[in-house]
Amino acid sequence: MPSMLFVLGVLFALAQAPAQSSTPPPQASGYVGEDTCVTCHEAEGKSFHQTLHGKAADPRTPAAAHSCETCHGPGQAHVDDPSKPGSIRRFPLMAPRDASAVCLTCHNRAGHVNWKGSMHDARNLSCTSCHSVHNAKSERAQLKAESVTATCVTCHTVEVAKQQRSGHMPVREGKMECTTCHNPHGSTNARMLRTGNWINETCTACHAEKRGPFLWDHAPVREGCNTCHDPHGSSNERMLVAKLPMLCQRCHIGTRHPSTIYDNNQLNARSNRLIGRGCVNCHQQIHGSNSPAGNTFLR
Amino acid sequence: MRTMRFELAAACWLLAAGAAFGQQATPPPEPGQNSSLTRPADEGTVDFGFRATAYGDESDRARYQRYRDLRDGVFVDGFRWSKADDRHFWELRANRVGYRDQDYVANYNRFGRLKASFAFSQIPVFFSDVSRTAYATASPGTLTLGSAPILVQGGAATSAIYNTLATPFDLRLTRSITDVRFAYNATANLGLSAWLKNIQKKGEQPWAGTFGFSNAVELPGPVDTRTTDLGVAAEWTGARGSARVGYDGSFFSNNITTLVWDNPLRSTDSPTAGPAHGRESLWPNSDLNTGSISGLLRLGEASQATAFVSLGTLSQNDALIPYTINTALAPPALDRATADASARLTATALTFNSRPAPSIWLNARFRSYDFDNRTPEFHVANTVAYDTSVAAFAEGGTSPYSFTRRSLDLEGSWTPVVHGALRAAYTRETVDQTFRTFDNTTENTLRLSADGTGVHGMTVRAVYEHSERTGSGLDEQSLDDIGEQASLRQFDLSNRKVNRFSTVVLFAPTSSLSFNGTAFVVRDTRPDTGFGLLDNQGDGVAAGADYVPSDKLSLGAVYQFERYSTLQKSRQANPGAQFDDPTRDWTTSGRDHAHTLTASADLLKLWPKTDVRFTYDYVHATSAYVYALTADTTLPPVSQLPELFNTRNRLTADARYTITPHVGAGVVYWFERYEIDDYAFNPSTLNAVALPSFISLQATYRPYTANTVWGRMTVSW
Repeated sequence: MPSMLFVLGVLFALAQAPAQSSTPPPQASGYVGEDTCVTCHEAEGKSFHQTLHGKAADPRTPAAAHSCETCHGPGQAHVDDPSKPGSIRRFPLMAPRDASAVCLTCHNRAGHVNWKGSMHDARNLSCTSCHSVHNAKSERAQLKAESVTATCVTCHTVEVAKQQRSGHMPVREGKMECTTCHNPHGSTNARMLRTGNWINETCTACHAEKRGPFLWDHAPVREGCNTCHDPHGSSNERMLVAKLPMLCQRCHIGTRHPSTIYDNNQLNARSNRLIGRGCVNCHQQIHGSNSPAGNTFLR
Repeated sequence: MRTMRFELAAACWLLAAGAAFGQQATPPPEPGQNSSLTRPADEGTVDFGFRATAYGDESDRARYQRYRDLRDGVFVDGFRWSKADDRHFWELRANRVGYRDQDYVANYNRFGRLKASFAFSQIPVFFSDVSRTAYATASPGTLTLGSAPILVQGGAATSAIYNTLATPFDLRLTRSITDVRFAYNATANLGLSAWLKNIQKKGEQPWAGTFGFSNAVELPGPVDTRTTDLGVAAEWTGARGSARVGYDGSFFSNNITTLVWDNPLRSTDSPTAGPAHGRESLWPNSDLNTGSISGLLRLGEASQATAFVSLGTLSQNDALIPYTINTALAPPALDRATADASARLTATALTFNSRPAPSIWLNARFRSYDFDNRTPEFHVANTVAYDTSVAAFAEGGTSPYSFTRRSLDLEGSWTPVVHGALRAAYTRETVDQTFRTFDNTTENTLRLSADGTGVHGMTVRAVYEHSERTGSGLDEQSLDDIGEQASLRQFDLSNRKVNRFSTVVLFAPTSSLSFNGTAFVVRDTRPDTGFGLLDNQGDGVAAGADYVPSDKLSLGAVYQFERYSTLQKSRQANPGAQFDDPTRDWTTSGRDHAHTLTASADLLKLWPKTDVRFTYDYVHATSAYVYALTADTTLPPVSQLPELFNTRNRLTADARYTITPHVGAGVVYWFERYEIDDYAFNPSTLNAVALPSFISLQATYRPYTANTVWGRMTVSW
């Protein structure tokens, strides 16, 4: 804890230092300045300065450069003839990748570095598909909708609907959101997953106990958590893609109890392979066992 | 290995190039311009009041509160305070103060220089409020029955008797997450970041401790774990590229790595009749250390390449418990004293993206992930089942699974009009694996998509995907070795053909009215599977509308129907002649249907100073598993299982009245009704088990009806 406080103190002290001095931006021709823009676009000017974009103390913000014209381009032609097409950058009218290119001028690091070539870029979405600089509705991230989920549901209705199922992660309770697992701006992992380099590394970022490596690994678990679980939700316990024992019987059919039909007669007999948690009533260590006697995941 | 070396070399080349070209950074513009509109702000808001819930008879309070805490009492919620000036931003947030689902956030931003954040959040998991157990915790990881006379009951025990011995308790656990992050811009081009995250889980969860087919025991499994994640990274960004180097560490520690519990049927160890206690390993402690380096290189105005390399080790070396706790058995000698388990993780990602012309977009991506399991085989000649008997283990030892995934994506997009794009993409994914029925699988996927946005208020997105996966190096003997049918194909590897189509349509004929619709179809067949999952289908449609005639009124609704079906095949057999008898074949047809309806109405200032919001959610999901026998079956007739269903209705109403510009009063009402019929968890099932075949915690699934009311004041400043 003392070392943490020391680091905190050093960082805070560094933060108080003046920002890196820099060269003034080139005064290219055609810029009219923010005061001219807000003559007509007062509301946009106001909303702009209520966001981080409007904080000129950050040298990477539009406010620190040409303000409105940093993103919209030099405004002289627009002032001369506002109705002239192409006189200024109007993002809703721009090709999505052109619109994104403007944003990526500054948003080119950390979580945005993989935007180009991402699944969303591939489908011709732009930053302005989800975000609004002047009319954001969300508490964070300047989203067009009130929340991350409300943004994603526009296209991903099936995944969001699954959050309403009985087996679900705490997304609808507000303890997680889509971006807890996914980076909509692209990632080096599969399926735009935010953490790690494979699906399991994302899941075990929170469920670290299941990452092993175990003395006895269960192959499909090692292969991918989504072999058996639907992370968006399902009607089954623990978000399983099917009920037990039917799910296990997709791979385990050999002889004796894995090959048995667990029908209503078995239910009436209260077979402990059908009721409750099914196979896991005994094979508890299904994610892997560290016991030398754990070959069938009973110990 | 040669391929991996090439990937690493290519990645390093790109990284080096990115760093070299990145030196030509453009100086940042002068700060402080155009700040005339910036206003210092010191504002906040907080809700407080009381809450109470009335439940219907026999309601499942645990499910209603599965991931939240809705206990009656006073509350402080939605606390927000922030202050900003030209250079700084401070923020504090708190939700559900003092409750099990509380969270707190503190943010500081020195614009352009430092971001610091602290977050603490708790997520409760409330499994059951009607659980019962006769087990008591003698010490962490040791569950005893004490003198519970169930031992005396032997095979004649009943649920009724057990219930008199078992103590009711709330089965729950809590996840507490502390997250601290810093991001510091050392220079205009160099950013440093560090983070520390701690996840603590404490409580109990359903856990199995079996002694055999007729003695399955469900225990309140203790959970007391901590995961500490930390990381540091440096990122350099310039005009021509960027580079990042980082380290991530994750350390999982379990305070209870062994569980010991009493056998309810025996008080003495026996070499034939079983042990007095059971013992199993719980989650082992493990460390994950990962270093990564990545770079981005801009190639002219229209192209860029990125490279990413990550090297990591995952290891655990917990002491191994003996094969059995049964002192009447001679336990086999351990091959080694500790697990000595480790894996090397290597990941690479290379991309090239280009727009050679405004209407052409090209993308290539190569990604690999190598899970190289370095755990030495643990030799096992004899093993112990259920702490009851020593038996030969024919397989001879463990199977440390390894795999390497490689995927190549090639995509091209053409935008003939500004807001329309046509895309074709090809993906080839290969997976090499050890100890599986296939040594290798290859999946080729073709995707075609069309996206049109904002044309006369219409957005249409559609994608069609066809993929085929085939395996090679089939080892049917490996199936025979473990007593499976040779024509079984495990569904995560089996050959398959998949066709998918999905579309999204949004139409806004006027600025106040919009319609939306989605549809999807999935057809997944496994043509070479004799036994196992044969096919997996799904389709669904959704339709909705939003009507916002004014700032005062907003209406929206969307309905979705999904249906999924599966077909799997098995053969009921004992070893011997039955194993090869096709008249003993049977299939299971699985079916899942789900109806989802969401509706909302916002009435803002429709009446003076009053905002009212309504939401309604409805979900009705049904499942069925239907068995079928062959025409010439020699199996007895089947009696089909009942259909499963669950239905959830939720209505919320939130009314707020603004008394003064800084003070408001409001009432919130939630109505939630959950109905469920699950034969496996119904009280009529779990409460009527003839012991000792299954001694459960009786964490049954039950319906609930809940009416929750908040009375609250909102103060803002």
